[in-house]
Amino acid sequence: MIPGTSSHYEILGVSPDATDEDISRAYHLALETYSESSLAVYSLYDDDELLTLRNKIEEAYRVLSSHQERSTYDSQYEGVSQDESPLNAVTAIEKLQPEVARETGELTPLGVEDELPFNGAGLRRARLERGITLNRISEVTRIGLTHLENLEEDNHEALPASVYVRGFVAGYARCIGIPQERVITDYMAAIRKSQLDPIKRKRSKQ
Amino acid sequence: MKERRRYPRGPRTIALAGGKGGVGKTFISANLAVAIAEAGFRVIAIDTDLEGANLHTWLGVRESSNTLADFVSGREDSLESLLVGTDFENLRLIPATQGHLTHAQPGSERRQKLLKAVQNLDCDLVILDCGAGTHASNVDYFSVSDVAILIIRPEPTSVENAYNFLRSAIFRKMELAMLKPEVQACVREAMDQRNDLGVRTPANLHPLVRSIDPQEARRFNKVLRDFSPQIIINEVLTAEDVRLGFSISEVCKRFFGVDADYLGYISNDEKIRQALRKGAPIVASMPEADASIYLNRVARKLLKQIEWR
Ligand SMILES: Nc1ncnc2c1ncn2[C@@H]1O[C@H](COP(=O)(O)OP(=O)(O)OP(=O)(O)O)[C@@H](O)[C@H]1O
Ligand SMILES: [Mg+2]
Repeated sequence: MIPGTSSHYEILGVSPDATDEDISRAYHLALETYSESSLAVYSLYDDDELLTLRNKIEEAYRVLSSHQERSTYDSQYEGVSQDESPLNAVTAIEKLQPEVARETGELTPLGVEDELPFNGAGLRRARLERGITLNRISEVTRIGLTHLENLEEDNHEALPASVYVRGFVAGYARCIGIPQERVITDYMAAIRKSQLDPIKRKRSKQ
Repeated sequence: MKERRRYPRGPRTIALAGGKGGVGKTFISANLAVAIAEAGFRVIAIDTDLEGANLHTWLGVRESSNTLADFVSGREDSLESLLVGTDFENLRLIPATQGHLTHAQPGSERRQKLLKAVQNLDCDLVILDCGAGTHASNVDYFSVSDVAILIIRPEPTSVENAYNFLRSAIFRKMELAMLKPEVQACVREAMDQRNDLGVRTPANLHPLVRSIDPQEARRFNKVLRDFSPQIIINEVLTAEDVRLGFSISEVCKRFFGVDADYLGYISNDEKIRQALRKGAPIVASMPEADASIYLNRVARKLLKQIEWR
């Protein structure tokens, strides 16, 4: 299981010891719940998100409804610690974000970003390389476009408190499919450095 | 007479809300109150809807001169003096009147006073009929009640408003549960549905809270885990309408991270209006009616779920 993704059990909302009947029931409920005309998702999910969810549900059911595939899957799943986020289920954005990286087709990373610190310019390079627009990131992450622009322009003074910036950077990284932890470390270090830089500080006050 | 007073430390509270106007909150509040009172519990129903008060009408009680509006405006400091009797042995009412627009909703301080006074009422159960909309007072009554019931009609507008209301209630619960001012401020910012911080659901807020304080993040998870609102689908006509409750419960888990229980549904029944015109709650005046059967079912299930202290 890849960290940051949901297990097939979580996708169907059943426990790992669910019976065949539990799985089948959960599958049919999920299909109905996330169908395009479903009233139950009104105002929460858009069509793209629903499609993604349905694909995941189908895949989860394909694996879990076959005894052989399920036991193979279980042996991989075993011992993987659960995410400590409040939801083991798929949550709206967090779990859907890697899809954006994928929707832009095969990635074309030149590997450059591995050698560079992820400051604003580094983020933009990584994004452009993947052909993803800032608007698209804003759409998916619901992070305001202005925040994202300030992030890329290293306009640190205009960014909100650092807890938020961490979240922005994490969302940005997930969305375009670059290593989240490293990006956060780099970016936060860059901010600290600029805060210590007397020339920059003076300039920002003017 | 059997001792019905289950707990010396104040009554259990049930709040009915839904965000949307006219979905049946008051009709259901009145009839659940009657059904539960008839089961032998001492019930007080409170009309908290100071703008559209009509719980008294559903219960067949005439308008009263002393109402909750007096408490809210500070003219009255005791809830006991506002209690009026009903035609039902174990059921009393604290009515509201319409048209107190200057004090339409209590401010935060008065709200806390009201909730405290509710805890001191001498009865087994208090039922709070909330008004429409996501006003802070509706959200508060819903967030702090032992049982929080969302009334939803099978139509997009009602579903939308119910989710919106639920979202407000979750964030409000978080705000109340978090101890650090820094975290509280963060929750308040995220509460604004149009926030541009990328926070759409409580799950998005969790990493933010964790990065401020891991202990608060654990508390955050506990609040989510412990919150289990109940869902009633009202005015059901088809099997799809009935199944909607299960789907909404599934979406609540996936999107909001809360275990919302599907308490039940009530059919669309024209007899409800007939009963209303007669000024007699349908569960009492037409116990054989379709809606009465569902209402009684819901009442029984509810009573089973309440954890008496
Ligand atoms: N199950 C039902 N079948 C038929 N009619 C119903 C049903 N439930 C409610 N109604 C009708 O809907 C109307 C609104 O009901 P009610 O006053 O209980 O809604 P409410 O949610 O309390 O509204 P408000 O937001 O204004 O307080 C009433 O006239 C009632 O007769
Ligand atoms: Mg009402």
